[in-house]
Amino acid sequence: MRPSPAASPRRPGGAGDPAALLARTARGDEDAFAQLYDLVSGPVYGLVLRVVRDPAQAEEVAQEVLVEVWRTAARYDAERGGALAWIMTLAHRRAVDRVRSAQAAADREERAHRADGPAFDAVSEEVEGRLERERVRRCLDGLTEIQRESVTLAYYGGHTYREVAELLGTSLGTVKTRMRDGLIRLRDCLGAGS
Amino acid sequence: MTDAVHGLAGPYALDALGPDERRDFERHLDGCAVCAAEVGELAATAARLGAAAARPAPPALRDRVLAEAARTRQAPPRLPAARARRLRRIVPALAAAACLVLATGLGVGWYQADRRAEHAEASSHMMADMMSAPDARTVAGSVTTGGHGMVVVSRDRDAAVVMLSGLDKAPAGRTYAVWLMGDGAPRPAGRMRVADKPAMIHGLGRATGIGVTVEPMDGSAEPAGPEIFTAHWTG
Repeated sequence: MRPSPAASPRRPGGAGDPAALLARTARGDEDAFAQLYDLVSGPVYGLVLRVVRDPAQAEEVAQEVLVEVWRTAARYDAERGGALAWIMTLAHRRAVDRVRSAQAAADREERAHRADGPAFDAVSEEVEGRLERERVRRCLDGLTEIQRESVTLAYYGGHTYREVAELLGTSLGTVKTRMRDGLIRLRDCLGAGS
Repeated sequence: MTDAVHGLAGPYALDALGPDERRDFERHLDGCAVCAAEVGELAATAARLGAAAARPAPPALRDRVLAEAARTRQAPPRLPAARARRLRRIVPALAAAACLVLATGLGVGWYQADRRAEHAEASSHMMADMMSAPDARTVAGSVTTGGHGMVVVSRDRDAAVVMLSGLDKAPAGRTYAVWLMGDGAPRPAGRMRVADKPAMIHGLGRATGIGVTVEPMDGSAEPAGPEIFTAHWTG
């Protein structure tokens, strides 16, 4: 089985290459954007849902992100990384901004916290992206506990590193370092496994 | 750059900075291309975490997004002048191993393997391509004559970029030779002359290190001259 396009960000040149589709999108090619949508909407929606948790809000944020991809496609800078990474960064930033502003509102209104959503293990097991998911999970397992918690609380939980330090009862310096170490170790592991 | 700011690369890549810290860090990134390159790598890794959370989007979303796109004007591209400025910033800064900022004009030397002669733009694209390789890793080392060297290596790309600073021109009749090591006897990987570009080494095979020595201009079958730089990485 081939990994899904979403799971393998590198497939240069071909029709399924996000960078090529993004370049055509930048020139106003709506067909290319539709193909790009088919390629990245799953990763974008899944990530946003993971952070935001509420499906209706996730759908809203995902729509904002994907339209933003269309709007700013010409601003994508290949020198700063891959096309899928650029889109996922955009998605994550928006999702995090949404939960933080929602959190601020919730704090003001003293509303109760929403219960935890599905754990990493419980995400839907559709075949698409399963290989990538397993690879990422395996690599996450290879981190020390504090590296893993620091990375996932920030990335999937949408917490700031100050909040993560508070949650883990550890120093800011430790959390900052573990986030960086954790990502570097993840990168090495993901690179080696692909 | 200061350690305090550098330490924020991880939290930044994870969007784990508060708004003020994020703004400060981005301002810092604008002036530190090595930091930007590192953040790019970390963010690419974070993006893999994101892609692993993929779930099918609600079917109705597709029509809504495409319809909204159709009535949304696209932002214009950045103008070439701005791009060139950023390229000029990123290329020299990559040479500043471990984020040591070397002022221009201090003899930061770029070397280009003789057998390849891409234009600067292409070279920058190759570098960018290397930096964005998911398995790209950076190995720093010292140049024996003073200065620093850095190798960006990617097994996926089967290539490495060698960047050396603080190196004079090779003595008359001699040249800098690049060797691939760790896979049997050292293999010649090209000669380098002073140029304004990094050396792109293709065909790493199973090599686990790169060395640079001074050799006669007409070539050597094996590294015999003085060692200038070595860097090793694990399989």
